[in-house]
Amino acid sequence: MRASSRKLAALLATRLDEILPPSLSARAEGPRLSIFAGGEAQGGSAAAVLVEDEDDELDARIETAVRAMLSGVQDCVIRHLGEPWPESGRQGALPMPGARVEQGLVHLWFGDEHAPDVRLTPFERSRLME
Amino acid sequence: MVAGAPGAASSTARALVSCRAVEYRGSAGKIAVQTSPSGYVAWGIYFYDPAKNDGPWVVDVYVGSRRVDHKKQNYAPHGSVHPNDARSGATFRIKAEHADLQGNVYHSVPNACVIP
Repeated sequence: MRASSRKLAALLATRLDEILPPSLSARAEGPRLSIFAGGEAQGGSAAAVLVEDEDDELDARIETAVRAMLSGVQDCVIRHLGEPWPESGRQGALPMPGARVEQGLVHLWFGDEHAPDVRLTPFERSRLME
Repeated sequence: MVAGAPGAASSTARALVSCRAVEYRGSAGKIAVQTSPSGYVAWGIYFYDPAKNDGPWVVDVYVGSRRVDHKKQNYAPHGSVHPNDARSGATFRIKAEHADLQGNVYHSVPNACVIP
């Protein structure tokens, strides 16, 4: 059993679709997570492959990969919108991406872990395995 | 960054410095790294001629031997490494490769700094 970068990209794509601005959509293309506007690729993240590196324990690799992916998507959306994204309750602050694996669930958010500006739907770690 | 020709790297002899704020300059561009007070390590790669930014990039970011980011994209790369991945005292380095629209291939100059 090992974690799959393709499955991670697909899981994050569905969760990001819940929070992206209406003009944008997310799609997994193999291990790549891409952001589209009107059918045109805007960028995204290729960091899902980090879950397949073998230099650390799995939960740490998942957290690192998810943070890097959310960061890449955030950068892409900001470039497209020309303004900070997602919105923050704190003026002038950009909510930074976070991820934590706890009791078999992968939690992901933007902002402070305990009071996030945006929380994405968590998923079971087992769904990454193949 | 960025060495456009063999032997063009200018920072090979640089000793490890702090990642608080450092730049590695090459013949065609530079890598900039800085660490925020909250522990995020922000980095970017910039050509002196912005027209050279277009084209495919492949970038890997390491903390120690651990890869913490991977980018494959057609625009100038930059990023921010979360404090949980950027542990104090570890070595931070970036490996990048890029081809511009004229087909010239560039590689990152040697770079490494110590996360404060």
